[in-house]
Amino acid sequence: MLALTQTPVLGTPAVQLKNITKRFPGIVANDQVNFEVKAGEIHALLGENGAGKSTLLNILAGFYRPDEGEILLRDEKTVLRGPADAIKKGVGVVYQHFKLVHNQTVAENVALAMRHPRFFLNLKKIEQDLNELGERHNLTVRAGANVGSLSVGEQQRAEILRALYLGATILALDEPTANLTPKETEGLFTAVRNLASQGFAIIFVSHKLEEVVSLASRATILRAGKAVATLDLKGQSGEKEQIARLMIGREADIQSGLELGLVEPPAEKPHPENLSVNPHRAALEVRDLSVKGEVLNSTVKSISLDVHPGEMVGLVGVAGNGQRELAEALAGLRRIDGGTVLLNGANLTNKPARQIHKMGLAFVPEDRLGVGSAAGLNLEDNFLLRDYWRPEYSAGPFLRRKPARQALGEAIDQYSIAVGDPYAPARLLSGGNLQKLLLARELHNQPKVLIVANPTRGLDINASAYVHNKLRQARDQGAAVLLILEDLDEAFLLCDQLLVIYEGRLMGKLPPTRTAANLENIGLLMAGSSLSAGETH
Amino acid sequence: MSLKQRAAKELEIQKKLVGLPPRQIYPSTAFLAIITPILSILVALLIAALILFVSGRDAIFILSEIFRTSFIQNFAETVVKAIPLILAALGVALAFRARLWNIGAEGQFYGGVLASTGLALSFPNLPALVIIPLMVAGGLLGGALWGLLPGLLRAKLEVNEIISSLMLNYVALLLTDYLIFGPWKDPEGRNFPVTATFSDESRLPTLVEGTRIHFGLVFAIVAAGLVWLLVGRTKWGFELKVMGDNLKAARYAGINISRNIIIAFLLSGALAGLAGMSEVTGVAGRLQQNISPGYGYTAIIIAWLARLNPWAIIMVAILFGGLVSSGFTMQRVGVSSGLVTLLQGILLFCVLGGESLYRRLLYQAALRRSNLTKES
Repeated sequence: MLALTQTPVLGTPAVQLKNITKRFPGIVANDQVNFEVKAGEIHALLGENGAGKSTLLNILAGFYRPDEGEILLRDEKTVLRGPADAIKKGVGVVYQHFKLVHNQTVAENVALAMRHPRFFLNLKKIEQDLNELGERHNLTVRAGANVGSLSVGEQQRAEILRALYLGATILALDEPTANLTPKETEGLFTAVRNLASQGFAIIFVSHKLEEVVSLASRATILRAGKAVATLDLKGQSGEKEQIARLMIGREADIQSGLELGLVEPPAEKPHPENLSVNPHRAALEVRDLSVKGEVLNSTVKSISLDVHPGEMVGLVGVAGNGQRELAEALAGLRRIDGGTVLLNGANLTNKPARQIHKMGLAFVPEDRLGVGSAAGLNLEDNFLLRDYWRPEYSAGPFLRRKPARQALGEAIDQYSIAVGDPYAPARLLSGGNLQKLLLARELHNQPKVLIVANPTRGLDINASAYVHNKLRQARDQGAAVLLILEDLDEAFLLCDQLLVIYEGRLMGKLPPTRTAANLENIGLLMAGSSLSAGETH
Repeated sequence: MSLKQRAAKELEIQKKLVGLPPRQIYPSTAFLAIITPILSILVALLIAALILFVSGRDAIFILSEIFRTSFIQNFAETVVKAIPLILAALGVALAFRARLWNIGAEGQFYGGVLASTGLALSFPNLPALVIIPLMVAGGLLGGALWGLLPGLLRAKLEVNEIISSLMLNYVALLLTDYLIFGPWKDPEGRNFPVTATFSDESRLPTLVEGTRIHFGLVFAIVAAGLVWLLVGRTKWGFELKVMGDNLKAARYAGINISRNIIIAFLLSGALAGLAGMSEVTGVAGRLQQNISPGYGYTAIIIAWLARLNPWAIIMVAILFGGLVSSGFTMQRVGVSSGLVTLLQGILLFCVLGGESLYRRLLYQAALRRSNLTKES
C-alpha cells in the first residue's frame, strides 16, 4: 500500500475544479469557482477569511458536495462521495487544526485511515514504512511515538506522511505555517518543494503574501466566494501588491498594507506622553507563576513578567506552550499553583474571576465562540455577560435591561458592529463583528490591564485593522496590554516588547524589530534554544 | 429641511438615545412558535389513532370521547390533575434553564408527600392556620432535600444528574412503600397499605365549591409567576440562562456554577415537593400507594412542550391533566388505561422531534435575516 507507484507526468492537470458553486443558508460560499492545479506545481490559494477557501478545500476533501460544477482528478470527471473516497482517489488534505488521535501512535493514526487489511494489522511494518517514507521526503517523524508527545511541527509532518502513505498525489495544506517556528517553516518549505519536483500537486492555502510569493509558482485568489484571478508568480517586484489588491478588491492603503505585511511597521512606535499612572510601576506584575498545563509541555513554570501602563507586550510562541494556561490563570479562570499576580500592587492570585475583572483586568479569550461568548444567546445578553452584576445594570436582584440596551446600542455605533438583528444568537455574527463586540464589552469599563489572545484569528483584513487600532487606542489611553500571539507578523506590527515562551518558560525578551538577526533569535527561542548572554536585550 | 429628512434625523437621535429599537417580533417566527407544538400534538394523536385503528378500535370515537369527558364534562377533574403537573413542570423547567436535567421530579414529589404526611400524622390536633403553613414548608423542604442530592453530586463531583435524579425516584417510591406497609399503616385500615385519614384541619381547603379543585391551584399560579420573574427578570435567571448555553462562558462571566446548580436543584425539587404536598393534602387526604400516576415524568414532557415558559406550562399541564384524568373514560369505552402512558410516550417523541425541527427553522430564519440586513 506504499504510495505513489506511478509518478504523474509533470505539468499535466492533477485537479480541475470547474464552475464550483456551494451555497449555505443565506450565503454563496463558492460562486462559479474555477481552480486548476498541475502535477509538479505549488499552487497557492489565497483569500481573506470568509472568501471561500475553506469551503473549496472541504469540497476537495470530500466533506462537502458542490451544488453545481464538476471535479476532475487527473483529467477524469469524479464525484467525491466522502472523505474516504477522496483519500482513495489520491487527495490528501492537511488542515490547520490537525486531525490526529492524540493517545495513539503515528502509525496507529495511519492505520486508522486504512481500508486494507481489514482485520490484521502489521503496525511494525507500517512504522517501518513511515520512517522510510519520512526519510525519503525530508519529513522525519517518530512513527512509533504517541502523537500527544510530538511537537506541532512533528504532528504536521505526521499528517503529511499519512496523506502520502495513503496514496495522495494531490496534497492540500491549509495554513500550514500558522503554528510553526521560522525554522520549522523553512524545513516544511524544503520538503514541499521536494514533493512538487517529484510530481506531486501541492495546494498551499495561506494569507501570508511573503510566503506565497517565495514558495508558489501560481496563485489563485478568492474574493467573496469568487475566484477573481489566477496569477503566474515569477518572483518579480510588485506581485505582492497585485495579490493584495485582488484579495481586498481595492488598492491597499497604509492600514491594510500593514496588515498584509506589505509595508514595514515603523521602528519607533509613538508613545503617549502624559500617563496618569506612574510609568515606573508596572500595572501587571507576575512573579514566579506556575500553572498546571492542559497538554504536554503547557505547564507554566515560574514565569515572571511586567506590563506597564501604556505598553503593549506580546507573548509569542508556538501554540500549546503554556500561553493559554498563563492567560487563563491571570484572568482567574485557572488555578495558580505558585507565584503571585499583582494589579497595581493589589494581589489577585487565585481570586475569583469576577473580582479580578472588577479590579480592572479585562480578558478576551482566543476561543470567542466557546469561551468568550454564550453564542446561543443574543447580543444584548453577550454584552452583559461579564457586567450584568454591576450596579448600573441591576436593581436589587433584578436585571435592568434598558441601560444595557442603551450601552449596547452605543457600542454597536461606536465599534461599527454590523448587526442584522441584535436579538439573534451571537453565533450568527461574523468573526470580526463578534470580536468587536467582545472588545467593546471588555473595554467598556476602561480596564487597567487588557489581555487578548490571538486577537485577529479568523478575521478579515478590515476587521483585523480595526481590532489592532482599538488595541493601540486602549494602550495609548494607559492600559497595560498583554497580547498572546502566534503570528509573528502581528507581533511585530503591534507590540512594544516581545516575550518568547517555550514549554511554559519565558525564554527571553526581545525588541519587536524585523531584522534578520532578531528574527533568527526569536526563532531560536521559540524552538527552545537559549541565546548566549549579551544577545538578549 | 424636508419633513422626511427631519423624520430620519429624529429617528437617528432616538436611536442614539435609547440605544436599540425594541425587540422585533417576526410574524413568521411567532407563527412557527405556536404552530410547532400544535402540529406535534396533532401528529401524536394521528399516530395514536393509527394504533387504535390497527388494533381494531373505533379511533375517532375513543379520542373524541376522551376529549369530551376530559375537557367539557369533567373539566374540574382535569384541573385537579393539572395542579401537581404545573408545579412539578415549573421545577423541571427551572432546572432545565441551566440545562440541568432533573428527571427526579417524581422522587421530589414523594419527598414533599412524605414530609407533609409525616407532619399531618404527627400533629392531628393543630388548627389549619398552623398545620397548613407547616405542611407547605415541609413539602417544599422534603422536595428540596430530594433535589439536593443530585444537585450536590453534580456540582461537586460532576456526577451525571440524569442518572442520579432518576435513581432517587425509586428510592423515594420504595421508602413510601416501606412507610405505608410499616410504621405509618393505619391500624384501623383492615391491613390495607394506607395511612390514617388526615384530620380535617390538615386538609388543603377546596377552592371551587362542588369540585375537588383545591388551594393548590393558587400555589401553582403564584409559583408560575414567581418562576417567570426569577428566570426572566433577575440576575440569577440570567446566570441560569448563560449556564444553559455555555458553561465555559459562564465561568468566564464569573458565575458561581456549582452554587447555582445546587440552588437550581433545591428550587426545582421544592416545587415538585409542593406538588406532592398539595396532592396528598388536597386530594387524597391520606397517603396511599401510587399516589402519583407518574406526575414527575409527565412534568418533563410538559416543560419541554411549553418550551420552559411558565405560562405555557399552565396551558400544557391542563392538556395533560385531561389525558391523565381520561383513564376512567378509557376503561368505560373498553380500552386499557395503559393507552394514556402510550399516548404520553408518543407525545414526547413528537414534541422533541418538532422542537428540534423548530430550532432549525428558527436558526435558518435568523441566518437569512442577518444576511439580508448585511447586504442591504
